[in-house]
Amino acid sequence: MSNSIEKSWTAKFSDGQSARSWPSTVRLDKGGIVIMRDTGEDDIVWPYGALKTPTPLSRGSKEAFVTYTYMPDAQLFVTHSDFVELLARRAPQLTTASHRWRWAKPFIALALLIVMIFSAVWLLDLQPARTIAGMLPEDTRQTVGHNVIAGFTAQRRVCNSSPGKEALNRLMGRLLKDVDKPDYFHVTVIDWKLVNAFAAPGGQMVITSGLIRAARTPEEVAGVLAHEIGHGIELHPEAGVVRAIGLSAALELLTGGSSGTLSNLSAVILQNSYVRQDERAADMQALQLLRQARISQNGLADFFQRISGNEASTSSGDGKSERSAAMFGNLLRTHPYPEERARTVRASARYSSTPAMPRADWRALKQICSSP
Amino acid sequence: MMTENQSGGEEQLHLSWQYPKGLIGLSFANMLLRILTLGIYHFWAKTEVRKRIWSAIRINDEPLTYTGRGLELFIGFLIVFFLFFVPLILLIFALALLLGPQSPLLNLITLLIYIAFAYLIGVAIYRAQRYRMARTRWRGIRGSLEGSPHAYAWTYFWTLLLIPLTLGWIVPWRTTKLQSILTNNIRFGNRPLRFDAESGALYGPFTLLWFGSIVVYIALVGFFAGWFADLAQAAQDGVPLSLEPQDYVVIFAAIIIAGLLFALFGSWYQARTINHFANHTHFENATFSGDTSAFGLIWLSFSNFLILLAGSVIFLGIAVGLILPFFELDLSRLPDGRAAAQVLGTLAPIVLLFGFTLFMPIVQARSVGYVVRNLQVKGTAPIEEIAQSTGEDIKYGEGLAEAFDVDV
Repeated sequence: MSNSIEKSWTAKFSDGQSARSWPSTVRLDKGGIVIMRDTGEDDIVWPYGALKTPTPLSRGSKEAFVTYTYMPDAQLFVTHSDFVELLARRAPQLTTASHRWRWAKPFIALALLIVMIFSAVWLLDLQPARTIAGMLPEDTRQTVGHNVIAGFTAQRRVCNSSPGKEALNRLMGRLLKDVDKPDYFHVTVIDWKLVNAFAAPGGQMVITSGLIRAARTPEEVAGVLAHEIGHGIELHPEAGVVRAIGLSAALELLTGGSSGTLSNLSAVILQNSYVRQDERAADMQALQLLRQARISQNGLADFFQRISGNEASTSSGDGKSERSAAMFGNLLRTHPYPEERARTVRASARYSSTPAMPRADWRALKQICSSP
Repeated sequence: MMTENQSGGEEQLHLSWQYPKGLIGLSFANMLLRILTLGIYHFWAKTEVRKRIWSAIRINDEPLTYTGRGLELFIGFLIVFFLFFVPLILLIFALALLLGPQSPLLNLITLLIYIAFAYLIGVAIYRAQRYRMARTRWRGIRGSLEGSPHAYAWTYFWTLLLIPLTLGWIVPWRTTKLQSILTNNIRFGNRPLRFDAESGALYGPFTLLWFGSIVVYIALVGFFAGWFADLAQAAQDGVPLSLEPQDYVVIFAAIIIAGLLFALFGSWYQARTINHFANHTHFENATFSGDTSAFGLIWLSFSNFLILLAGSVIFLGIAVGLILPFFELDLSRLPDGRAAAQVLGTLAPIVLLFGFTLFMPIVQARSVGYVVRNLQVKGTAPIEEIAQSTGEDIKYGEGLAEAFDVDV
């Protein structure tokens, strides 16, 4: 081992006082690097433990570029590969692997922590977005909801025929009769072929004329409404908006503040698809509302299941069903899991029910978009 | 080879480039760590790449050093993100929620924010340069960028507004002015760089770029207009519309030729700008000179693009290889394969886009390398008289530049 210690190499040394470079000779001693300037000044010793490098030594490097903690402006530049190899052994903190690992370690730990927090939120069924949503004052929720609805009604006609509207209000009244604040909920029908229904913040709901047309019985409409009211009671739309704000903050970050998602709330709501547990919770609320209103629960299951059947027929290749599948697909995407819903309804206890609305009301509702 | 031409403290300067080693390995290591740390490693990865690139630049065979740290960049980013972007996003969101998406007040505020952004980009560029200069050393002597970012940002801002109004003709003047503010504020140790370029010399190449682009554009539009007229005529004559394979070749060729001409004019202008700026940059008794060329720049961009594309494909391959076993499980659960196809369809573009950054270190090194190889320094500097920079130290990195994604 004495061999390597006695060997010396040419080097360039800068003291950091001026831009002058001193031709030098260096030796790797037991205690550290010994720098001997060719101009005859005193030798300098840099102990291995206090060495640093702006350019980590990697395998096969032919150069070592070394600085010293206690002479922060000085530097040593050696261009001999055997020097590099020996130095890497004596001062392993200078190697690439050590550098990278040292920096990555805390962040891998942080990443694991984040993963653990997410897992905990998911496993323990914590719902931070919903908690925040619950803290929003009712006024704010309603303002937000009105703005969301305004986003739709700006582009589509609102269906307002008075017999149809009265019929719908009677059905809503029946569904909401045992709810705390029945006036909190409000449904708007818009003239849109797409089969869809969704809840906005502040108890606002939208159903499309396409959905009313596609419904075969008033119980199906009642089922859909009850389900959307269920989302409203559970504050799912509010939670969706809170989540969207979080997501779009991240998106804004990635796009440098120019993604334009900020002002497009209606799109946020339209794209909002609920997770399985939200759908389940809304269904539970819906079943209770339907039971209290003495309306058959079958409509709820039938409607969504019929739509899913419709989508499955997409592959048949006939143009008509493809078109309708495209229209239904949207509702199915925002209201997934139709089979589970049907199972829940079938498992629910039976009770005696009366028709959701009289025949005349049903006819009026079907015509709600026919006159302005 | 060493040029130790020292006389009376004056040292002859020369510049060289030594291509950094191990960039492929670094690319993969950085990518892996970025994924493992959910992206946070980005700042450390960037630092690691800069260290390699800086030390590949040699003055008198001794490397430049980059002494910046990932943590500084990270803290700079956090400061800008939490003190600036988050409050701004929340404000806009709250306004959008409460005023409605179509509110005129919201539009006004959004407009004001965009105007503020245009100014802040200038601030960001200047501050980022200042950080980089402060973290660059040669023979232990630090660089620095003096002056206020606001002078630069203001010029950046008002000349930006004038670009559309002057149909672009302010661009050569603007670039020269901005470069002048930057370079004249750069110090190496206690000595300044000098920049004395006028924009006049750039107007020749710019005129060619401007008129050349218009001619190419008109020719392209004319070509397609004539072509569509023929098609329309054929349709009127009752000939069924159909495109033959050779038609596609013609369309493709026309677009490629137009693209190449645009690239040629643009690169020629760019090369002339780089060379012109270099020829008018001085340090003590030394002057730089530039020798970049249009073809060199075109080849650089094209080959860099191919390298990034290769990285993207490799990354997608690795991602698919790793994820596929999980997909197969999913496919067996969902016989129609819908969910798996959806996930794949959503993920593939993201993975491809992300993969594009895989070989970014190589591309960055090649770009810097090209410029350095085509730069010369002629003359001397009183090396013993250049003392350490007295400029104040900078604590944090390029938060604003990072947030606006300006890399200069």
